[in-house]
Amino acid sequence: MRKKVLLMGKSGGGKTSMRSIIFANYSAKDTRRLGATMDVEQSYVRFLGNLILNLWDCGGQEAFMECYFATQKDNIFKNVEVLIYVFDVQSSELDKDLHYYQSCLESILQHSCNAKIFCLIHKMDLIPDEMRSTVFTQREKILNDISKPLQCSCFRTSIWDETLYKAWSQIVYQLVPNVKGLEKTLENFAGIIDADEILLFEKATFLVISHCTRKEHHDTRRFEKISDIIKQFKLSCSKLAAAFQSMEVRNSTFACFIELCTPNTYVMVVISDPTISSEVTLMNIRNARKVFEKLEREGARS
Amino acid sequence: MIKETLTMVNDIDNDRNDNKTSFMRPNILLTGLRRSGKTSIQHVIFTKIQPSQTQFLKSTPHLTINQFSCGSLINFQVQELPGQLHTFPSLQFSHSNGAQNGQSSLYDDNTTHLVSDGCDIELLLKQCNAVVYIIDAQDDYIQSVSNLNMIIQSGRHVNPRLRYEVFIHKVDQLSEEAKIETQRDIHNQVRDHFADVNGGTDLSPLTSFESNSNAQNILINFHLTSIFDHSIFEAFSKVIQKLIPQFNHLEDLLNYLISASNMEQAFLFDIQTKISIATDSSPTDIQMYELCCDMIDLLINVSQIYGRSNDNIIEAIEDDENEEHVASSIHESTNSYSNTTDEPSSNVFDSMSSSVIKLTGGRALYLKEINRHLALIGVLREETLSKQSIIEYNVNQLKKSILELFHLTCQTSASSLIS
Repeated sequence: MRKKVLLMGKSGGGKTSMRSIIFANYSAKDTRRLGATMDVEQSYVRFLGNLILNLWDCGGQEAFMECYFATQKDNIFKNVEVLIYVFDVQSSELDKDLHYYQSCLESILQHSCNAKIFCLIHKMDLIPDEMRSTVFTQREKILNDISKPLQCSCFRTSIWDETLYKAWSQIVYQLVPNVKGLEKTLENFAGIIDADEILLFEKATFLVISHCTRKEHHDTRRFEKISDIIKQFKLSCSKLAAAFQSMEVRNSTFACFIELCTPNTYVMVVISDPTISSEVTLMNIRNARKVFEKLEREGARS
Repeated sequence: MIKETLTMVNDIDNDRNDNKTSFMRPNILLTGLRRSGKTSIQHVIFTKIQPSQTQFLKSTPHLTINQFSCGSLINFQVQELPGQLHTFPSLQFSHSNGAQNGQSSLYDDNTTHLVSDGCDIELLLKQCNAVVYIIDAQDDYIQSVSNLNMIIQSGRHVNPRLRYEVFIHKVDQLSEEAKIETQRDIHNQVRDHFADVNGGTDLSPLTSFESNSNAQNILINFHLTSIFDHSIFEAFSKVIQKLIPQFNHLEDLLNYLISASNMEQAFLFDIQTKISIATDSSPTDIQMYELCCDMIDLLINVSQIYGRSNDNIIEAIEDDENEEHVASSIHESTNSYSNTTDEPSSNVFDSMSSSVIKLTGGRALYLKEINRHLALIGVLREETLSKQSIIEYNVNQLKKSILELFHLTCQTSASSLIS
């Protein structure tokens, strides 16, 4: 099942860097090495086993952009599931950017009117802290207005913090088949083992694809932070030519288990009852694997 | 806990420098030319500052003393001495170093004393247990090496058992061959200088913890370091390990542990600074050390998100709000979500903190808390983990032994101070 994801935006906006960090295990520093993308770079990313994300990283230089809307229009804009448009927040040519964006939307309306649209306001780290909310809300409003009748979801991102993971998590969430079924199963599972929270990650990117929260938590940004923490650890493991398989972290108030769930997903279980021993939880997770694997297979078939 | 105080050397009472206090609080003299990186090193190791932020640090005007303690178990003083050395004729000083009179050499006149910033180097050298000398490898280091030679020359007279640890610093930009070349070059320069001065004197690189019996030999070690990776932590760990009086005992304890529990390696880490206080006798590579540091980061970061008790929730919310304003760059090597306050990790690192990470290839990392500041990290095979209860029992015994060891040390020193 191939789902086409378009990644577009002006040259130097950060599209290839984002893609490399999320899907190719680059660290933020590594992205400095990347050069400008020529024409369209297609990559196939195996996601959740049988889901293949066909990522079209469209070079943003003017010559290419003109080309997309003229000769290549059919080729590029047909069968699109998701359009991700990247805006460089520091761009001095806001009107031009919006103009290109509108052209994209027209083509989408024409060829793939059911596509979901995401706008990423990128490089937010270059804006001073105090001004970030205002700048973002401004841009969001403009984009929502000009996107009509289509709907777009806006995110503010930066490769230097966890906002990148948040945005891409949401994007990928939209693409996961049978995500409601998954959530219901997670809820059942959490109730049976008395967990505070369960997160489901995609194995390669460690993006959160589903979660169930039974106990309120004050930190709304924790999913992105966890993705980031684990990804960093994965990167350091690779220096030792090893990868991590599972982990358990505990102190007197909680215990957290990260285990392989299906061949393509990891599950993280957080339990705050200190009387429940590790072995019990690990056994529960092992037994739950069969259920999740079955779900994944069913999702693939439909 | 870090306490920083400014002081002028003349105020230090000579009487304080007897064996008992240096046993209680080993003294490290950190020096080098200006802009070589001394203050940055201290900040990167002892505070949560990101390496890239160190370029904003102001230069250190005076001798500064930092005390580093592991909850009163291990105490250190790091004296940072900035700037250049000058030589002054002895008439300027009221106290005399009688021991100087017999020596004569090409470079060191018995009428001159080394001075930096108004502090008498010889006095400082007499009082410290190790000299950490920073050489900027990216700069032309000829002058730095001659400075070092002056200090060593001076130190030989006042404190022959002094160790010199030379950090060849800022090597992150150099290639592997360049690093080895630089180290060899500096080593040769120092060796040649002392071979000229006192014919036949040899430098002996430290190979074991026991100091060389030959009084002519100078105890010196070279390390290649950079604040942008873990090499600075590893080098500083080695320096501190040699200065802890209990190191031999700790090493023995860890050796017993790994043989009894069938582990491959064991480290004792300080959680806050990620310096390893002790390791077992088997050789270790820097990647394993880095991985252990990353494991500590992982433990602390996850604990900070999920591991706060209900009373700490309000504090956690405030911390989160503060984080918005802390300029933190996540993808640096010293990754941490905590604020730059005094003891950020102690809240979530409690007596039941532990972690097990299984890697592909059959290896696993096992972390257990020893006390509020120390953690044991063991590297073992995954099969060994099936006997987890035995390992837990052994680690508990180790914990008791370590705490008793430090308790005894405190008691002995305290009683000898009183008497």
